[in-house]
Amino acid sequence: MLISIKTLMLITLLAPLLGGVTAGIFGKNIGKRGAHAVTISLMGLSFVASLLLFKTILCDQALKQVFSLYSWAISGKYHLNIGLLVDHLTVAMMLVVTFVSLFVHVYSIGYMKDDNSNQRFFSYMSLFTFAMLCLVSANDFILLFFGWEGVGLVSYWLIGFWYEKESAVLGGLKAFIVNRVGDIGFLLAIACAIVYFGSADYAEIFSQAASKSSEMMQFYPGVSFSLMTVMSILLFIGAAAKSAQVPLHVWLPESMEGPTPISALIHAATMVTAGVYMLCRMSPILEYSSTALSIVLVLGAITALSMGLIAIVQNDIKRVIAYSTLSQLGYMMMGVGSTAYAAGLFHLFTHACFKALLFLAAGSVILGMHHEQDMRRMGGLWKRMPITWLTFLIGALALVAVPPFAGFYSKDSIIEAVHASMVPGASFAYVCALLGVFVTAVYTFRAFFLTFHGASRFDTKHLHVKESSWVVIVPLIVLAIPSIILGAMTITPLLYQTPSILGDALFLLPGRDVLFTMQSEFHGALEMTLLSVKTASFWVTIAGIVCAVYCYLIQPKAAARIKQYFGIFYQLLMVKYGFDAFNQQVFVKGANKFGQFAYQVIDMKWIDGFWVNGVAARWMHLSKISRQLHSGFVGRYALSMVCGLFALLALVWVGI
Amino acid sequence: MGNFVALYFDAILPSAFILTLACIVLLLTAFFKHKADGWIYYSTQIGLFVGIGMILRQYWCFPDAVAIAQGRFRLDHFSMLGSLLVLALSFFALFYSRKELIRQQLAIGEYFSLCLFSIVGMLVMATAYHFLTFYIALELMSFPLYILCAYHRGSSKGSEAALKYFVTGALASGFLLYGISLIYGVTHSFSFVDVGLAASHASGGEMVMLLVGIAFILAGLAFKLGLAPFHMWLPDVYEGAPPSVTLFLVGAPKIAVLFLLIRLFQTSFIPLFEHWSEMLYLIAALSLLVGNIAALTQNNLRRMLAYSSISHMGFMLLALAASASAGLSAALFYMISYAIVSLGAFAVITLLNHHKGTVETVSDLAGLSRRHPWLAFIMMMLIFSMAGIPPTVGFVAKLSILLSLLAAGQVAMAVFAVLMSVVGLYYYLRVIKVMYFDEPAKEVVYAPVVSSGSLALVSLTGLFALLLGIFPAELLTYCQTVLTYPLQI
Repeated sequence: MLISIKTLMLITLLAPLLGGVTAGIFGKNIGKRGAHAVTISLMGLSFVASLLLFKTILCDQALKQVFSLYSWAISGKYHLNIGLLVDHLTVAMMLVVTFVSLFVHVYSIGYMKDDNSNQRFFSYMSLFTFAMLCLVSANDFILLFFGWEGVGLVSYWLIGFWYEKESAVLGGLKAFIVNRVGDIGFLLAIACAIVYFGSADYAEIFSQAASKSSEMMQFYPGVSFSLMTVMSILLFIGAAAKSAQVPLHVWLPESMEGPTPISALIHAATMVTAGVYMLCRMSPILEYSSTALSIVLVLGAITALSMGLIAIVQNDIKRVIAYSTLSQLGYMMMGVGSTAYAAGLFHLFTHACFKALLFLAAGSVILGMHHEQDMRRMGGLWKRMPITWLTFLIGALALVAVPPFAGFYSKDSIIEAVHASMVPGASFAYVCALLGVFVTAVYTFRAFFLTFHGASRFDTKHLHVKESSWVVIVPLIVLAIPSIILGAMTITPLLYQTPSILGDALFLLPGRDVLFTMQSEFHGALEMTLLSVKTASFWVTIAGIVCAVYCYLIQPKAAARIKQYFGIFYQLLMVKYGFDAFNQQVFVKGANKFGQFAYQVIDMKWIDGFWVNGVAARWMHLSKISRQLHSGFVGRYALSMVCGLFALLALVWVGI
Repeated sequence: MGNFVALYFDAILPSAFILTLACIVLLLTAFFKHKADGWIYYSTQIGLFVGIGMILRQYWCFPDAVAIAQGRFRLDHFSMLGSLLVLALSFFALFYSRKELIRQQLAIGEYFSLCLFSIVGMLVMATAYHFLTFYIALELMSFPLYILCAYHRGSSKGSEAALKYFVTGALASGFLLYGISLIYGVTHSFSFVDVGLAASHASGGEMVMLLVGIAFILAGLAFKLGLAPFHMWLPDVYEGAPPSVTLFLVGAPKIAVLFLLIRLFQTSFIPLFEHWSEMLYLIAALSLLVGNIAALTQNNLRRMLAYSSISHMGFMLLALAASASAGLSAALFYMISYAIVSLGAFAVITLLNHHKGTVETVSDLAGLSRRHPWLAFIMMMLIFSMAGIPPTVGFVAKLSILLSLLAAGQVAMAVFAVLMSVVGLYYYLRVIKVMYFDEPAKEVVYAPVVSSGSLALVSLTGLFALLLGIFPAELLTYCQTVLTYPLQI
């Protein structure tokens, strides 16, 4: 090995930072082309380095390593260091992040070619990649939190990238504020770790986890909870905001106001999966709390089903995919909750590829339609955009889990794991998961048919739709390949091999390992593909596809009839179960009212009126009185002196 | 014997020299009228410089304390520092007087000779070691000041202020003399050392008499320092006296009185510390209260600074009341820095006086930042220092006083002092706000004409306020060293 692992890590990590800073600060000097060249070449360097790391760690079975970079803060007995952790999970995540990021960079050249702030855009994207890499390579909570906040911040910048658009600005704000809610949970979890474990370092915390598993945390006398449960739930609150789980999911659909490459990179492939990654990383803590696992499982199941249902009624092509992302994140959480962490991560990897592909393909459609996103004004595009059509189809098949596409293996593993899981709530989750599969098939193929098939519902004379340029097409093709083969290729090493491809990054309590029980029925990817016809989920998928074919291709009026028939249900979906309205009424208005109260009563009347100005006014009043005492009569001067003297003499008298 | 004469000569040389200078100036005025104005001005200033040189020579001649004339004077590094400060501050004040006197068309000769006589009084006061010496020196210092206040005969305000000053001053002198007589009655001595020895043995009725005497003397000295409730003359005088006289009043006389106060209370009265420290606390607290409150509503700039000076004297006195040696040095440090800073502030105001108009109210400073940015900056530094805002010297001074209070366990008093400083911020910051943010009235929109020499000197005070705030250690340590002298008998 010519280059040490540490050097490779630093190259992977810092190359995007360098690119981002260069494009950001010297953007004017190097120009649009220069910014493309700098960021993409450095991103490529980062990708190559992470590839080498992947090879070193996974294929050559190098040991996991921890590097301490520098001491960030020393406060009392706490030493907070910034360091990197290189293990199987980290390098796998890094490879996914750099891979998707590189191709989104390339794709953006085409997508953003009419935009005037390319430098800013590319700078943000590279900075985002840096922050995400920090997040996955941290060896303690401090750097993890830095990356966590870094991706959140850049995400905010990028959602509001077109800041002239009000909806974009509001979307950015919403994402930022909702993520703050999660950050409270996450910060409290970090505080718990520092207080109870005396360190923010993963290794230190995990080594103590078993001994502290029965420790109780007292809120006030008489009320105490298990430390592990409290910490796990706090971590999940953080993860739920980042990974958009019900009820903190409301920001993700709004984030679609950002440019499409961003939706692909941040809001589908990488950042939103940070929550899943974090929970997997924290498996040594989560394992000690069945309560928390159960909460993760149930909320994941609810998210998977309910968000999929909303996707059916959306008309904006990006929003359909956004709700689909929410639903798929729910599946990943189900994987975590059923203790099949590896399955959750497996779905994370495959989803990163096919969801990025879907978004980029949708972006290609949007480009071709001259920034039209409403599917009701599309249709029949397959002839005009054949490559986009094909790649979208591949992505769609992967998403609905048709064998042998990537999504099939990962999603089916999760469903099987949930089925086999003993965590409370697993049976409910299993039902949701199966229904979710049906729903996924319906909305995916609805979008597919509405966009690419049927009659063209736009002005074909004026709108000349043609296939996008090669910088857009190439990433589609490149992403299509793993969307087909990644699942079949990696299911064995990732889930059923000992030691698995993820090494010892995941921790499982003995007797909890659902994947281990499933292993007896697993006989290779090929057999799983062939045997899929015997599983329920396969037939549910087929049913969903058939349903979509009937409603949107063969009998387009059927959809309208169903809509009429289930009027109330349709309305419920259209208002997205009222989450937004509830937040608006309770939190936004409540906060406004409280703010008004704090401003007008607490601040203006009490603090300003009574204290600040009131005290000042009393002093001024005193001053005016003293002015009157100082009359200018010399007799009074002498009197004051004599009084002073008597006061001194009185002190003598008192003192004796 | 010859050795003794030489020693005696060396010891009294500076005050004798200044006294001679005063007489020469008087003679020059008598014979040449105002034709000798230039000569008088330059010989006075050069004479003060020579005086400084003589005191520096004393530093070298007298490494140890010496008592002279049967213990009527005492020469040590403490008294030398006092004399040095008196001369330097007087030099500074007189530097700005000439132009101001010419502007007001006042006679120069008598002015300078009166100032010089007063300076002689101060120099003697710094070395006094005997109640008679001290009393005569005090009167020698005060009488020329009364006259100087009324120097502008045409100004009714000035005459009124001088008369009030004189009448109340006479009362204060009465207090002092009565106090001295009581102390003599108990101890049968005028010598500071003997009184100190007698005080350490005093008990019962003798002690009461001593304490009553101390109360009277304190009242007299508090009048000179302008401490409440003996302060009433101060605002009238600062406002009414000619600006150049105010400039002279704010620096040297206060230094001289403080040096005497420290010497007297540390040498003679220290055995009764527990009793008089309460008196000092009372006066200090009253001064802080009265000074800060009254300054809030003052529009006249010099009157406002007068009240501010009352509160500053109160602040300084707190440390004397706390009295541990750290407290004494804090008080000395505070007094030195305040004397220089307030001199600078009054010098800026004096400099701004112009034949087209004078600076009377705070609002006359409006727009100074545009009319003369550098002067406004210097003024800002000086005001910041008075308000006690870091990194100026005022902050360090206030901090060391507060620390000495805390060391003495006087937490409530420290909190009170801090609160009073907060109140004081209002009128200090108002000056800065007016200088930097207010539009000047139409009739005062002229750029001040300032000679480079006066500008350099006043800049020195502003820079002093800043630099000494950043590097205070040297002066603080020196104050501590010098204060070992009055403590050893």
